[in-house]
Amino acid sequence: MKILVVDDSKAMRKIVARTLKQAGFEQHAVEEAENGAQAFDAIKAAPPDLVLSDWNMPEMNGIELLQKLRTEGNAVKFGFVTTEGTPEMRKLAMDSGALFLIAKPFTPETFQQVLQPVLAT
Amino acid sequence: MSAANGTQELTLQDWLQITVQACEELAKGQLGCESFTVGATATEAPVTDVGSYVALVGDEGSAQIGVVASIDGCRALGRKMLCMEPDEEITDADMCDAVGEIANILGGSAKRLISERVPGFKLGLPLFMQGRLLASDRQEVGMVAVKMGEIDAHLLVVRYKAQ
Repeated sequence: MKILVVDDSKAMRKIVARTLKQAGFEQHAVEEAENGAQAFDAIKAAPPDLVLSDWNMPEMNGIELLQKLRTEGNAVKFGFVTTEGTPEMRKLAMDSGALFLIAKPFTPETFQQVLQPVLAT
Repeated sequence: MSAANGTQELTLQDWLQITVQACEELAKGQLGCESFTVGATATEAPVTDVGSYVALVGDEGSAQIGVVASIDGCRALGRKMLCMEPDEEITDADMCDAVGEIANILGGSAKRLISERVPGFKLGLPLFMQGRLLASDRQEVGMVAVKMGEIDAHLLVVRYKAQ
């Protein structure tokens, strides 16, 4: 399986990739994008099995990316890994078609718990 | 003091408490620090400190939250964030990015912690800066010294006073 990690922070992309390994998902290929616009192009070119996206990013943010994908009929599995963990943001994410929202700071256990059922289907 | 819509206005002390709570969560969680201690408060950090700030902007007030330390302290925080060895070389770009993410996480956690009391804050993007912070008379600054494991740092809040 292929997982696309979208975050404007190179440090956070590394941390998410490392946490995926620590959570037991080391068999999956991880690709990266720096913002929503870059991710949109990457998803169109070679659809991943799961998108893990930050929310606040320059150029195109995470929620704009998700909404653009769904508007175009793209049903790629999509979850947020973000500092935005308020109930309002969670509702907006789910209403827009996200499967989950993992709030930073996170642990490998959180990744395992949330991603296991998503990657198993 | 209550704001116009009935929500409770956040004082500088409130902001500092929330930021310390957010930092403790981060230090003991993602950074894996065995200890987290809170030291003295002041109105400014040492002039040699560098670090990252993120804005929280709301209808009932706004603030900048910062995490600053000596350059070696920031490198150590960056290494912690990236799970590098203590003696491993870290580039300035990686240090700025990693400390920026720490500020970003503090901002996000602070937003979550205050959301029930004062909803509607918007979180900005982090900015790494070097230099002394000068506040205008519309702003007030608070600082708390913290120790994350062996790393000394300062948490700063610049609060915009109510009009």
